[in-house]
Amino acid sequence: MTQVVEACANKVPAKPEPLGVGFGCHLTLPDALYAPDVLDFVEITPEIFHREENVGGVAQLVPERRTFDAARRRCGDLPVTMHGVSLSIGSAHGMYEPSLTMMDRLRHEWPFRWYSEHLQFQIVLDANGAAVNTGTPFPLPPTREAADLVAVRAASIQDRYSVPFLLENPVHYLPDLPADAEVGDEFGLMERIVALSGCGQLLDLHNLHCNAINFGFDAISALDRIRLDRVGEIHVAGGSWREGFYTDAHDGRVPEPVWTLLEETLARAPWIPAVVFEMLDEYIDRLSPDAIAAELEQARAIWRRHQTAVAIA
Amino acid sequence: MTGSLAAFQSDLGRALRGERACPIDPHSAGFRFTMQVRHSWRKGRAMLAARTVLSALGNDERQKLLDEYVDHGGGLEMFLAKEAECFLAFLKPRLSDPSHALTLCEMQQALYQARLGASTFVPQQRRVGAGLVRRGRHGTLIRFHADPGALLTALNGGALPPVGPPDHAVVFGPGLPNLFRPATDAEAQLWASLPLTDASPALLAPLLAEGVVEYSDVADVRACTHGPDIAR
Repeated sequence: MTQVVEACANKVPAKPEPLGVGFGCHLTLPDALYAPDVLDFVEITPEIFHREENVGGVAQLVPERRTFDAARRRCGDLPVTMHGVSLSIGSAHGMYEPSLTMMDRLRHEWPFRWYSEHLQFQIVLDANGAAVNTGTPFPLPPTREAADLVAVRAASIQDRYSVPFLLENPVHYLPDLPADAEVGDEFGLMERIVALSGCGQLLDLHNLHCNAINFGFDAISALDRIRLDRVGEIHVAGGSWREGFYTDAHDGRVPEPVWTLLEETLARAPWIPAVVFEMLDEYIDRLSPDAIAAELEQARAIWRRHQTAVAIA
Repeated sequence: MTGSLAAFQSDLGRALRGERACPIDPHSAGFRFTMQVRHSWRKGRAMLAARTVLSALGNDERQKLLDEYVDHGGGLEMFLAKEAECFLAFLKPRLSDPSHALTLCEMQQALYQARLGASTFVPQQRRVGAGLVRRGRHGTLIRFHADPGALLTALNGGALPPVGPPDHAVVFGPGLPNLFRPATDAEAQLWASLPLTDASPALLAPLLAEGVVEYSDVADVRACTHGPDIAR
């Protein structure tokens, strides 16, 4: 298996070109936010603008034409990246194929700079062998088997679309996932996948911050264990406390420790091409458009400062 | 790790459904919190899927119906449109009749159906009066118990209008520019008497063009055939 993965890894596309600071496509926000003086690109979660249909006995994701077309108009000439949420790349029985066929179509219909997904699984087989949704994503156990499975898939996806494929480090609350000693933990798992597959990492700093708080490790020190040379995008977001856990709610402003993590990460790896501020649609009313613009501006100021440092160097 | 990834995931899936022991310590604070998050995600998805209907209900009834839906296995659809289809089918028989909530539930179902048909809808090119006319596969007429505009405005925080007689008819169809429009009394009467073979061509023509009604010899193949298990 390793040979197969390594063969795929030889076809790694070039590192993404710098894009700057991006934001999700929220149709209820004013057009003025989606202008080059506010952001540099838009990160599309394509599933939001698609619905699942049974076409000839096969599940397919088809565009919700009204919202899909509105999203395209909203983005205008801004570059886009795709950030999927339905692939379930870690499901042992197989990935969610309609996601891949959706991306096949989008590749032509709405070209994207890169494609990212989450390192997790949310589909399992029931007692009858039917695929069922777990209701919330689960992290993969840090094992060789899990790493090898995902690495083969990630390499084939990267090959399929000829753009970089990035995997996002997940947030979770499970302290006792079964593990192989040689892989160890979430950082070991991601490192092995990235090394084997040639794919990149979407480093979600808010997820890192959440896990650091909930599992009691130091997030800044954890950066030492991340292949920053393979990070193609960073996420920042806000969260909230619930029942004694700090959650990745994407419900507001970016907390100060996450801004500090962004500064630290870009100081170590100023070549990272993109930073995205994430908010969930259902919480979008909690921040005014001006407040969202301010978060984007702060991210932009940090990213540009480090880009400038690279240019001077 | 002993055992395969497939076995781990399968066991976890069954544990989530209460079918077997959990491969992760179910008493750990992290697992218990994960279950809370899962329940909250499922409720949240249902809430998003049927926001309009739910906002016509009192908080206690809303929470009761959401919990009941999740307890019946709801909130597990990956896509919101499918979740809405399932949840609205679950809600409909549980809402008071007559009530604004029930009418809004039917309205959301009608909009879903009209939207589903809109991307492939082609008006039937045929001389009006040439066959049996029935209700359209993606068309509906709904009788509201108050002015629909006033009702929808009231959902944003005002008092709901009284539940009056069902005198405010609205048609929904895939060929309508906004998927709906007010119906005339004659159209409402026609709808109530479908299927039929003889109707005023002047009355039928726009309804056929809008996909509200159709000739009955059209192949009955729905684009979306999957249905909500829990609603059966």
